[in-house]
Amino acid sequence: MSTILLAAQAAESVHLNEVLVAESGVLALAWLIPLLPLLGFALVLLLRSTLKETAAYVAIAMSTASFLLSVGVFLALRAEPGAYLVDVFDWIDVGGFTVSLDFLIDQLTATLLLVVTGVGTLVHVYSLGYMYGDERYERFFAYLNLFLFSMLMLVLGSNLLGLFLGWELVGLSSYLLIGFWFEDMHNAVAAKKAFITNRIGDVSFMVAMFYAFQKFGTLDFVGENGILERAHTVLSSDQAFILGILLLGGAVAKSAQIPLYVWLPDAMAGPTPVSALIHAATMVTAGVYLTVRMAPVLVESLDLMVLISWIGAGTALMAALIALRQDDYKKILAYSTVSQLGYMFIGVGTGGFSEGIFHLFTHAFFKGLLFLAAGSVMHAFANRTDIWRMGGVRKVMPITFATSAIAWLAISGVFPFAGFFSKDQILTTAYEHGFTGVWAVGLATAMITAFYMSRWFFLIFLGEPRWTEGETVVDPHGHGETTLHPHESESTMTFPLIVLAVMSAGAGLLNFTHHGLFYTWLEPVTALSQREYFEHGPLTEPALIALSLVAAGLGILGAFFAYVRRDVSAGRGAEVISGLPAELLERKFFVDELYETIFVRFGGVVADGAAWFDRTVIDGIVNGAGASARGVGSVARRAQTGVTRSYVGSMIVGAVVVLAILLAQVV
Amino acid sequence: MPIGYYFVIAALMFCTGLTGVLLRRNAIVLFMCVELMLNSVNLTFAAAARQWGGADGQVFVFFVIVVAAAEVVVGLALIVNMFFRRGTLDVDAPQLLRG
Repeated sequence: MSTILLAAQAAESVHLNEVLVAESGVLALAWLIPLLPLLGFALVLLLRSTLKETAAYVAIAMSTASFLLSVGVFLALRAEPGAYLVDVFDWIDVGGFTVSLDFLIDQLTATLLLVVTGVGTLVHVYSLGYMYGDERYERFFAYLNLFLFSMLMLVLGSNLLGLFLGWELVGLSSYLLIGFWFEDMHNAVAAKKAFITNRIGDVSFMVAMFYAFQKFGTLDFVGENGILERAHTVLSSDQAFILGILLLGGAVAKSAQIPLYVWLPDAMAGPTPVSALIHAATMVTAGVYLTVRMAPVLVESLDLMVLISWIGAGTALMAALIALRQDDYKKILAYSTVSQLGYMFIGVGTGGFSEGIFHLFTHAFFKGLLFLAAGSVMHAFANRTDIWRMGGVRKVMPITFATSAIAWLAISGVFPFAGFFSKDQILTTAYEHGFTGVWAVGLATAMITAFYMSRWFFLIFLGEPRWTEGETVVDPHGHGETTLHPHESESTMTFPLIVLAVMSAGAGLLNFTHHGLFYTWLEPVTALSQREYFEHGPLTEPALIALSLVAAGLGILGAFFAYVRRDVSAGRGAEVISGLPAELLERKFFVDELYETIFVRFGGVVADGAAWFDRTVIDGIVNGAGASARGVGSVARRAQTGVTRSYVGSMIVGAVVVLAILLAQVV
Repeated sequence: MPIGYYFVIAALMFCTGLTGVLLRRNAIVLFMCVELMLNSVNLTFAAAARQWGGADGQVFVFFVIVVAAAEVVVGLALIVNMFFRRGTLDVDAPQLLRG
C-alpha cells in the first residue's frame, strides 16, 4: 500500500478559508438560528393547553424565521467567504482549558443550515395536515422544534464538544419522536433500540474527544491552534488512525452504517414526517458531517480511508439487498436510506468530501420527498404500509404520484435528476482515486437501487389496484376499523411534496460538471484534505457516467419486467426471486438475530451475574452492617435502666475517674 | 481565717448535696440538693478569689447564680408538670426511658 503523497503545494494554490470573527451583519446574528426553535420548543411545550392548534403555527413561524436567517447567512458568506466565528459564551473555563459555545460558520455549515432549516420547515408544514387530530398534536410540534434546535447546534458548534452537545440532543429528540406513539409497545422498543445503539457510538465519540484533547490541547476546529490545521503536523499516521476510528465509531452509529445500522429501519415506528426529517434528510447525515468536518485528521491515515470506503460500500450493498425483499414501503425507504448513507461514506472514504456532502444535500430532498409521499399514501390508506395491497394509486393521488415519480428517478440515478449527479460523482471520485473495488460495489449497488426503488414505485402507483374502495381496514395502531376511501392529501401536505420535487429534479444542476458550482463553493473547506491516492484504471469520466446510466437503466428495466409486465395480482407469490436467497434477504441476513444472540444474551448473562453479586455480596455487606449494629444495641441497651439516680451515679463515678486521672498527671 | 476552712465546709456541702441526689427520691429534695452543690462551688470560688485577690472567681459566682436561677425556673416547671401528670414526685416511678 503506497503512502499518502502530500498535495500540500497543490493545496496552496486553492484559497483556504481565513478565520474571521463575525462582528456585524447577519453573521453576528447567527446565534438566533438555533435559539428561535429552542424558544418555539419552550413556548409550545409550556403553553400547549392555551395555544391548542395555534401551537403548530408558532413552531412553523420559528422554523421559517430560522430558515430565512440561514438564507441570510448563506448570502453573506457568498459575498465574503471565510470561516466566521460567532461568540456566544464560554461554556467551560477551568485553568488553561476553555470550551466556548461559539458557532463556526463556513461553507460547509451554511450548506447544512439550509438543508436542515429548509427541509425542517417543509416537514413542519406537512405535519399540519398529517398529524391533525392527534391527541398530542402540540407536543409533536414542540419536539420538532427541539430537534431543529439540536441539529442546528450540531452543525454550528465550533469545537468537538459543541458538536457533541448537539449530537446528544438530536439523539434525545430522535428517541422522543420515534416513541411518539409510545402506547404501542413496538414503538417504545424501537425508540429504546435507537437510543442504545447510538449510545455505543457516543462513547466512542467521547473517547475520541479525550484523545484529541490529549494530542492537541484543544477541541476547537479552526484557527492557528485548531485541530484541523495542525492535524498534519501533530498526528502521526497511527495516531490519526486511532483518533479517526474513534470518531468513525460515533459516525457509524449516528449515520447507520455497518455494524451499527440496525436501529434505523426500526426507527420507522415514528410518525412519517419524523422519518422524513430525522431519519432520512438530516440527523442521520450527522455522521457524514462529522467525518467531513474532521477530514484533515482522517486523510492522515490511508488505512483509515480505505476502511471507511469499504464500510460505506458494504453498507450500501447490504442495505440495498435487504431492501429488495421488504414488503413494508417505509422499511424499503429505511434500508434505502442506510444504503444511500453508505454512498456518502464511500465519498468520504475515497477522498471525495464535497461529493459526499453533495449527495447528502440532494439525498435530503429526494429521500425527504419519498418519505413524505409515503406518508401521504399512508394517510390516504388508513396507515396501510404493505406494498402488495397497494397498486394503481396514481389515479386517486395524482400529485403524490407525480412527485414520487421525480423522487424515484432521482434516487435511481436517472439523468438529469439530482441523484444522478451526486451518486455518479461519488463513484467517479472512487474510481479516479483508485478505489476500483469500492467503485465496482457502488456501481452494482446503483443497479440494485434502481431495481428496488422501481419495485417500490411500480407496486404502489402503477398497475391495477389490489384494494377495493370501501373495504374495511383494521388500523395497525389499534385505532379500530375504518373503511378505505383513498383520496389526494390536502394542500398543506402536497405543498412540501411539490417544493421537494422541484429540488429533487433541479438540485443536481448546482454541480452539473464534477468540479462545478457546489464543488468550488465547498473548496475552501475541503482543500485542506486534498490528497493523492492510488493509480486508477483506464476508464475516463464519460465512460464512467455511461456505465452509471446503464446500471440505472438495467435496474429500472428489470423491475419493469418483473412487476409491471408480469401479473402481480397474486401478491407476494409473484416475486421473481424465491427460495433461500429471498429468505435471507427477507430476514435481513439475520443480523438482528445475531446481535440478539451475541450482545443481548451475553449481556443478559453478565447482568445476571452482576445482579447475583449485588444481591449476595453488596447487599450482604449492607445488611451485615445493620445486623451487627442491632446485635451490639441489644446488649448495650441493658445499661439504659430508666432509673434517674443510677444515671447520676454513673456520672459521678465518671467525674471521679476523670478527676483522679487529672490529679495523677499533676502529681 | 485560713482558706482551708472554707474549702472543708464547701467540700462537706458538696458531699451532702451529692449524697442527697444519690439517695433521695423526692424530686424537690433532689432539686434542693443540686442547689446545695452549686452553692458549695460558689463558696469555693468566692473564698479563693478573696485569698488570691483575683476577680475571676467572683465573676464566676455571678454566672453560677444566674444559671442557677434559670435552672430553677425550668426545673420547678418540670416538677410541677410531673406532679400534675403522675400525681407523684418520686423520681424512680417513671422508668419510661428504660432500654
